[in-house]
Amino acid sequence: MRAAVVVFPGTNCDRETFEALKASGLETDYLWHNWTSIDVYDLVVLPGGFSYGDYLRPGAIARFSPVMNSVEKYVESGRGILLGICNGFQILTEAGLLPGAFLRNECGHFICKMVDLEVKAHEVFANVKRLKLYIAHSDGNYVVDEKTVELLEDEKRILFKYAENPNGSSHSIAGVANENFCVFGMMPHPERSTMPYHESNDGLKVFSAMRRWINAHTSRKA
Amino acid sequence: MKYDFVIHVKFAPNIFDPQAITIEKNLKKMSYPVENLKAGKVFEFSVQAESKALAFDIAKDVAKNVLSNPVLEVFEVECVER
Repeated sequence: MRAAVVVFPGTNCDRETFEALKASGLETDYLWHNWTSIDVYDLVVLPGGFSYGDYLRPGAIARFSPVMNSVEKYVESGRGILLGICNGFQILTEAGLLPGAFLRNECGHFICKMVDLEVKAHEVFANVKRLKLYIAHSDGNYVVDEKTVELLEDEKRILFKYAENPNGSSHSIAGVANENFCVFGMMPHPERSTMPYHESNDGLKVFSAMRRWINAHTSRKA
Repeated sequence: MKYDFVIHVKFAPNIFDPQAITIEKNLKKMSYPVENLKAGKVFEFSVQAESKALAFDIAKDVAKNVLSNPVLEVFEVECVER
């Protein structure tokens, strides 16, 4: 199974994400943001950091980079799974691949801490109920209108909720999926909880859930 | 012809903006009688187009598709004489 970590100018979680994917048994490559051939991958990850300095709004410029064109086609083709982590999630909302948008944290400052997450999408995460993962963001306040929240609840597209809302996000939402469950976005950083020396290894549960999901739900040839 | 534009982007009225609240709180601390403060962004650029109406459409496209996010923000497009 092959995975790609997309690197934009300013991405800074690419290395950790790369190692985490390798530790999860995926053959992994880095993809520079001007790369356009991504069809060979089963999982494409947009990692965290600050793409293009987060100028304008986080993710606002990254969404127009050449690789994002290919990413949109990749999603349409149902070839594999797309996962956006932190800044990657912000890029996916800017690109319209996931609903909502991000604001400054309600408290007004950067937050970096371990948080408890309630897992909502039990089908995707195969009976995992809670996760302990790090968040690290200034703009993590997820804004989505009430009508969309209802739709997300009905279609079971909310992946995680914060046990205690750290940043003001609507309904404490920390991660969502698109309508076909092939695009996932999450603010917490699973890659920061994957190694024996990490405080938690719950990130591995996220990546193995992605692996299972790829096997069951994409057009991947075994 | 070249036309000059100023684009104002600000948060929609229902959006909570901690930046504006922090600025207002501190202005009050400095005893300024200020309220209802809003923070936003201003962009200036010029557009080459055959007419003012065409230039305006281009500027509006830029404001709508790139400079603002419809989930959070509203924008105003202003054509200015230089």
